[in-house]
Amino acid sequence: MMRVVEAWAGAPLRQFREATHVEALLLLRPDGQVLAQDGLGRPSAVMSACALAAAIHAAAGALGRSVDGQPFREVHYAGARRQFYLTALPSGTGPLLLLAVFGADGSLGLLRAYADELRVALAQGGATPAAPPADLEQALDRSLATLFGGAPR
Amino acid sequence: MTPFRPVLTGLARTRGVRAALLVDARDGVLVDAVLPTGLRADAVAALAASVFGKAGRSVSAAGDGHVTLVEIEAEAGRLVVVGDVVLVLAAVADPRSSVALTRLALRQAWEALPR
Repeated sequence: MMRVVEAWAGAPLRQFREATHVEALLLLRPDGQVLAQDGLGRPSAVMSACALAAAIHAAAGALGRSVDGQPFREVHYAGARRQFYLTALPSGTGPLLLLAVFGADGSLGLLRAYADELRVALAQGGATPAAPPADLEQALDRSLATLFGGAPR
Repeated sequence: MTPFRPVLTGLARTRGVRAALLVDARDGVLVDAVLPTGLRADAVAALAASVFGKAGRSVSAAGDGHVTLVEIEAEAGRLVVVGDVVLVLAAVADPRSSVALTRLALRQAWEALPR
């Protein structure tokens, strides 16, 4: 079941999920703060995935600037049983990252096509750019609490 | 430019054909294309490969062997696709273009692809 922190992102993400049949997806800020997730059951799995996705995005950006003069926009990994696709999406509240996990026989091209549609939908979403949180750890805890219930630690 | 461009260019010159695309059958990623501006090549490529792949699985499940051609007719055009498990070749054609001519050109282009 999809859980979202930012309500405006819910409908576009559900449409993406239904169109692509991905096994799991995460929407997060580049600092690792989760905004929505589907398919990752435990908070610890979400935290780990967000941290790793943020780090991969940062590293890919640095590598892109080094070899191409501009950050790489997306990363794709094809494993034996699963693939993942990580891409940056602009939104009304600032840049976001989408991590999608899909099966080995899934179509990267199809995923990218629907990610382009999601990119358009999210770019119109959100009222104002979100200011960087004063306390990132608290912001991360609040996001997880919103997704999984319970009081922030 | 890929080695496939001359074949795609020839296909796109067929009367009624608006675009010719060569797509990775597994990933749905565009390999090369000859097309007019404004066409969402990546999306058409991914959908063409997906439709061809799904049709292939359906045909195979029905015991009818391998799919040889898939054609989708829409209000404003036709999408005609041939391929195999590695590559998919798609043509986007005008709705009133000759069905037979498009299919013939597509099959000839498929045979002419350097592989």
